[in-house]
Amino acid sequence: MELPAGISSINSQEQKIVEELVRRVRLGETEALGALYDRYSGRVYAFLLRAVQRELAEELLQDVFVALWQKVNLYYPERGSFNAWFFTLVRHRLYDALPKYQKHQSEDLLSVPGVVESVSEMTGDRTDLEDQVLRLFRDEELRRAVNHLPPDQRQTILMTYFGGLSHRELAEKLNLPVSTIKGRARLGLQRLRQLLPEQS
Amino acid sequence: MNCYEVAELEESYLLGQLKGEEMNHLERHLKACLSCAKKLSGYQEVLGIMFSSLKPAVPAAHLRQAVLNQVAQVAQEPISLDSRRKPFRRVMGGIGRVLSPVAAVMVIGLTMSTLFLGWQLQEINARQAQLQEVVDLAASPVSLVWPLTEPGVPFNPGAPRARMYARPDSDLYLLTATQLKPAPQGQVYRAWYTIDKTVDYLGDLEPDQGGNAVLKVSSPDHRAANITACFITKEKAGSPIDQPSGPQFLAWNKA
Repeated sequence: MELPAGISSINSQEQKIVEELVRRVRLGETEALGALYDRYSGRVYAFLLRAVQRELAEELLQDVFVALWQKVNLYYPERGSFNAWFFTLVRHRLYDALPKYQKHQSEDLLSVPGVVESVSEMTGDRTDLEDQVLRLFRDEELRRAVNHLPPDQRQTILMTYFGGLSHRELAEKLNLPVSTIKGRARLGLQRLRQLLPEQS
Repeated sequence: MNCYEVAELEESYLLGQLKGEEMNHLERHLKACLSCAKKLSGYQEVLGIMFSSLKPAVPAAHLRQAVLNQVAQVAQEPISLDSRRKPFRRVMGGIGRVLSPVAAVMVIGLTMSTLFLGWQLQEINARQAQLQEVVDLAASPVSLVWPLTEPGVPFNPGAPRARMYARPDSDLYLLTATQLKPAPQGQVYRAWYTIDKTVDYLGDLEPDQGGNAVLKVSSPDHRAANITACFITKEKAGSPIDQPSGPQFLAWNKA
């Protein structure tokens, strides 16, 4: 079961429910993992479809939840929220898997109908393509905040964190040093943090 | 570790992948650098918010069961004590640094005491074993007993006297003496016995401060029943033990 749309839905009540499910997963309860799957699988799957074909996305989706099961004891609430930890885990599983799975050609990366055609196009005609990527986010407040970012920061965040590209790959495409891309990503995230309402 | 290096390790830190020295350096930096401490989780939190806002795509229904089937056969990684107990370890580490010298002294003291007590216990056990042997020998109905007194002197309860014990079924010869005065300077009390007119040396007696002396000798000679005399002489210290030379101080002779 997915959460209602909106940043505001990630409230303290939701966090408590998730933390309780995580606690039960730590105890080895597969039912609790099933409940976490119901909450997160749709978003994880959507994220994976940004980077790989459906078959591989399905394979990675399973891999991610098995990794969640295995590594749940490495989640420390004092270091960040479960969402932050889990999304980092998801991205790392994707990055780890890409070389194995023969990463798709650019034109296949963003192949979900109605979104964008290719990463090369994304980098070329970025305003339009970024708008389309922004539509992946269901929260209007978030979309507005991302739109307030300077163009280079917006592009970096959308493409490296949600487009399946690493910092290095984007740096190569834009012919820029990796450190510049990383700097843009950090500045963008820092700005977003200020723009987004404080999460309870 | 500088701010740039901390930023590079941010995701590994969040994922609980840092260990050992790297982890220590990072945590030390975070304690000292407020800027890094604020940023560290902030970036990932923003990404977490963005992730939670993604429009879901619906995966095939069978994948859920496939995941549950897989985890049923996969073990969870254990809790990393190295990381999870950091705050506790930090507090205990501080206490430990203060208490460790005290604890070390206590451990050394306890070890020494234990060794000393162990040694004392061994001594007590040895003495008890000796006493038990004496009791067994003295009380056994099959033991042979030879009372030694000052020759030619009427019985005097305050005078020195001795007893020698032996058992036919034992190699042990035991001689106890009481109310002995310390041997004169340069002399020792020496015990002997006679079998078939042959005099054999039993051993030297060394009275304690109370005038008591015990001499225990293991001898394979099982002819105790043939003893015809046993006596104690005062001999020159260091003199040969083949034959007594001094007068008999305490003696028993077969009538």
